[in-house]
Amino acid sequence: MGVLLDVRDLHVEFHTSEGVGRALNGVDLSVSEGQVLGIVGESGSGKSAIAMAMVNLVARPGRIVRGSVRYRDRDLLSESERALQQIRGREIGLVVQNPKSALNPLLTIGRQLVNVIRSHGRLNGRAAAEHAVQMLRKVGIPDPETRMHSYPHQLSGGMAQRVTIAMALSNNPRILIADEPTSGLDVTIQAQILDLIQGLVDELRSATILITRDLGIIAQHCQDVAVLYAGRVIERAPVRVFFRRPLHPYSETLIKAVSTTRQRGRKLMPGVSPSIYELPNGCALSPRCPLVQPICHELPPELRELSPGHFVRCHVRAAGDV
Amino acid sequence: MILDRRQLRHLIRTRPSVLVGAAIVGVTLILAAIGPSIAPFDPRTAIPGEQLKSPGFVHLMGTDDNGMDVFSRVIASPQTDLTIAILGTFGAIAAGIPLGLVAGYYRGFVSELLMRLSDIVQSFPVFILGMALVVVTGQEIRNVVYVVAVVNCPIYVRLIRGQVLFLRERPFIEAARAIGGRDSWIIREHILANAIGPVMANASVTIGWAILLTAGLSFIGAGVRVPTPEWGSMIAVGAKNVYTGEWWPSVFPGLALAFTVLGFALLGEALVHLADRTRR
Amino acid sequence: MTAGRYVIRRLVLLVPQVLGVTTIVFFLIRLLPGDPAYMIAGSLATKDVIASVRRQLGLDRPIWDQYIIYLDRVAHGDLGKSWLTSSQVTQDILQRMPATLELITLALILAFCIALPLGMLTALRPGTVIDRLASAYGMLAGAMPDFWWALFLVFILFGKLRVVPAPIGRLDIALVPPPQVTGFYTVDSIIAGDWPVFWSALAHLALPTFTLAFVYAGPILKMARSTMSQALLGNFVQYARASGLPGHVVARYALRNALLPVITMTGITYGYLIGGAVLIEQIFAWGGLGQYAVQAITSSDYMAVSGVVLTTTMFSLLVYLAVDLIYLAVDPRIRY
Repeated sequence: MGVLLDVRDLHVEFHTSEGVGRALNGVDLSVSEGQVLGIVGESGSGKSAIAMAMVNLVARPGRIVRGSVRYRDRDLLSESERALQQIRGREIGLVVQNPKSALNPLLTIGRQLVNVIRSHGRLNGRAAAEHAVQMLRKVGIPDPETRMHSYPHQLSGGMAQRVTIAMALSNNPRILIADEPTSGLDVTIQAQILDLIQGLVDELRSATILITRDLGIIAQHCQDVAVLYAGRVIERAPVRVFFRRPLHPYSETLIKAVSTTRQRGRKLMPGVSPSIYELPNGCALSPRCPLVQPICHELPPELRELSPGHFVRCHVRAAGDV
Repeated sequence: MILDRRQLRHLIRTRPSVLVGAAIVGVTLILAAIGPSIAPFDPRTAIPGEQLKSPGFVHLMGTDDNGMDVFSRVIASPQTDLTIAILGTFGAIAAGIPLGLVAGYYRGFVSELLMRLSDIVQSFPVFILGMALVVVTGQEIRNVVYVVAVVNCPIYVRLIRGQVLFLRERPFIEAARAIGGRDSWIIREHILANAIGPVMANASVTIGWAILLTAGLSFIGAGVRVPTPEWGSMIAVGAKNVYTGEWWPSVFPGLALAFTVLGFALLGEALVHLADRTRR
Repeated sequence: MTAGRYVIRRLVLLVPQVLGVTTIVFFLIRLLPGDPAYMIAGSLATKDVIASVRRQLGLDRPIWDQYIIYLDRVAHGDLGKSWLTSSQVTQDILQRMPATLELITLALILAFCIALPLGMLTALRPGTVIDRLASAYGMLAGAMPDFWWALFLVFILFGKLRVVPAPIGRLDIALVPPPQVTGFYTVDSIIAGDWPVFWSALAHLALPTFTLAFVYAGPILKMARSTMSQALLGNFVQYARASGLPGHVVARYALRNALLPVITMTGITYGYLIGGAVLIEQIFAWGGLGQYAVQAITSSDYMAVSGVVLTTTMFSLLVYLAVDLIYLAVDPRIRY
């Protein structure tokens, strides 16, 4: 199983009137064929920037300032716009957070879906329209032939998300990036959408990157998880290992916060994530970490493999203090 | 809408034109204050025998066909134009704020009526309305001020009303009500304070338009009377000379007019942009 | 609300608007200080004429009666009599309207054709030379007085370079206007097959149209550039890119959404132009509504003034109606 997407040392900055915001500070991750990787983070972790960064679509005032995103031997960050256009939507599909705002309000969903299908060249005219109807049926939209003529504002959130999933998967991509696909949807719909994604992805044997702030989703649908904090991956592990024994203090807090069997006496980490405009020197967690040592304030820790497949970015943990 | 240092620097960096605008506005304001006093020749007096002299050392911008020094009149005009524009804009705002507040805060018949009236006033083509009003009220500076105020008032009514509608649903207003604040206090303290930013920002743009309106009215003879120095009427006086090749009586006031309006527009635009962003 | 109901609602809205406008114009005259009959009859009138005018206009009746009479007259197209031209104001206006309409319509089309593509282009290529030039133009054009530009261009292009005809009207003095079908010299001369007249009309239209278009394209350009830039930053545009749609399709997506405010701005400009063209008409001796308005103003011809105000405002209202209907056609969110 080869590595499909390899992100190395990705840095994204935002230049605004508040100053320079460092949203991503050296993100490393990779995903292989058939793998489902979950990326979890809270506000300020950089997860909003990462999906677009991976397809080299960071909009002003943001900028990718360093790093590489290798997809099958090519660095997406140095490819031409033309080459990227072939890859996006065809090899890499994207599903985003607010599906209704992702669709053009002035065109029917059928038209938009057909546009995506046709722009990747293989089908045209009637064949594309038929494929579109098929995709709509596949994502569970009832009466798809009629729905083709609906406008985005006529759809519910859940329906709109199904449409974007159809768009993202219509050209059988090797990778699907789902950026908070269920935030803003009702809970029952959330489950449906995630199951839908999982089913389709299994069928296509694509790799999936699922970005979310919901650990429950990670637990249920992902094989591996990467935890994002202040623009860096601070822990990376297979899901079961992660939930059984998280190594990073932040991960522990994350899990404890949602766990139903919260042990009394073990406090949650106080404080808040740092602003991207004012990141601390050394480890980004040093202002609030209960295990903090002097070295944490000075030197940012490296991501180390502390057990097979389990990576952690922490001086204290790396030194073996448990 | 108080600007801190960093926002100011960012504004200048992203929109350097705001400095140009501010400079022009500054110069114009200074001229409005001291223009007539520093003019080399009396801007209202014709010098016999000096008609249509081309620009030179004595008459920097030449003279018009009445024998008046163009340069002196050009720098004396801001006093007229700016006074009218600023007073008129101020009038529009002074009338627009209470009307807008009422229209936004109190729902119902009065509010609807105000908005319909505002719409109707805005349907009149601005220039035609201006002309008609001046005719009806008489050609005096005071009336031109009223015209500017009336023509621009609906803009501010709409602006304030929009602000009020936006703010009244905000939680902090509900909170203020919940702790028993009286309506008038809420309006004053919260809504007005928040609404004033965009108003001030738009004022600069309005002043620019008002100057154009005054000049246009004076050009056709419906604004300021001769011999009061005013760019529009100067252009009119010099218009017939343009065809025979004496371009300076019209071109110089025109350039001055364009620059001034541009300055106010640049400044205003930058302020509006800033006001929009601080609101969010 | 369905499309049909929206149209009806919008048309119904026109009624109070028209009523409001006519009422305001009515009061424009009546609330004057001094004797309206004297002012309407004109400063050259004798006592008898003034008395008869007073009776004619019903000024000896209570104000409410006067209002009804006025409304009735306007509804029948009677806008009173101009003391300057001694003919019916309605006739005067109808005679001159086509000249103005021809001018401003061509100017608007030209302005739109300059502003929209330029605005789109510069939004797609931000930061380039053409973008900076275009935004400078947008700013400047709005600030420059149109009458000054007209004079300046007349000076250069006619006075110095002689590439355009003298600014003395719509046609060469020697030529006779074509038989009236629309009142537009360009159209009518084509219909009549009278080519010399057509070219002359076009030549005379060139400079005033260009001046107006040059100045009024500015605000439309600014709007087009700004809405297009905003649209390009919109979520759905980002998503369209992320779906691998080619550049020109993405641009079309953005344009469609950016177009609506531009249409509004164009409509507003058209309504403004009918007043704004006044100064241009004066300079080019156009013989249209604008020149008529100026004459009326300077001679205090009240019936003519109020007639012009009424007519131009009705035009404005119709333009806004058209804009709303266009919105209806383009934006599905209103329909369904």
